[in-house]
Amino acid sequence: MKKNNKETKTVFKAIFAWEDEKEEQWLENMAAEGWRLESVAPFLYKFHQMAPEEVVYRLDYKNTLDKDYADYSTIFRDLGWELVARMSNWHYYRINPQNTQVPEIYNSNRAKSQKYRRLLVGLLPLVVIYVTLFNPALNIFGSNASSTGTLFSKVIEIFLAAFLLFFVYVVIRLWSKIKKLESQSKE
Amino acid sequence: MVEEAKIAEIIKKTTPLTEATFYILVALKEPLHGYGVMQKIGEISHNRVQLGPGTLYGALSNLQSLGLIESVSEVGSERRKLYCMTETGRRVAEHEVTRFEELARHGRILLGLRGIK
Repeated sequence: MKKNNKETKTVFKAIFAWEDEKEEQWLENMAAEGWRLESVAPFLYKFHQMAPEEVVYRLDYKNTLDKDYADYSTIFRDLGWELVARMSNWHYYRINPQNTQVPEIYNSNRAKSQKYRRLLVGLLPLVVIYVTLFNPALNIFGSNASSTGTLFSKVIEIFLAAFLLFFVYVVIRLWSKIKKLESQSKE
Repeated sequence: MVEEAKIAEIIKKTTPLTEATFYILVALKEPLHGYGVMQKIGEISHNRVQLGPGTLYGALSNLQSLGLIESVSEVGSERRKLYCMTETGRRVAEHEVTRFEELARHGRILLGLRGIK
């Protein structure tokens, strides 16, 4: 890839896990303006310029360490979906809607809700890490609830508390999304 | 007899199957890989039933964990997994077919439609 070329650009955009449909729409709009997605890092999207195209983007969450990951990938590829980018376990797929009659990766809301369930499971390790770091019994940062805590440990504590609040918020958003999809299921 | 009781229990646990899951299960009377399942279902339903990859993959792994299908071998250089219906899977599918027929028959009677008999 040519670096520092005018034809690529990196865009910062704060989109969160429960806003994946908004993200798909945004990527489709970028493609319509001639910007094709190249790679994704947290909140950073790299595009390169090309002729405007009408494509469909879909995001899926799948743990790449799963035993059946190869089968999963094969099915997507065989059905014509191109894996454009991957960020951790988030997969960015693209298809030209003319090449398929169903430019959707999930046909039913019930199947789609499974994606968010996998994501919730994927977030579990964070809980383990959090409990370990923040557990007073382990006392990793040496702050034993008295005034002996250093400024550094205070900052860490505040950061961890903020993170916990945000994390709870993420889980609630995802959970309500799962429940909504399941209740809308016609099957 | 124990076997029958076990199958009855599995039927109770796994049915009713969703439309997508039912089609995938019956398509696997012969071993097929994911793409083959998709083609076969498109063919028989004249493209009415179209499955996205997420639905197809999800249903295949779900059916496999329920023991209704199994993977038989891997073929080709791309190592595509071949799936096939198990005996239990066949019994579940037959149970569903009988149920659909009953639904259709009762529907005809109650609506006063002339059946195909």
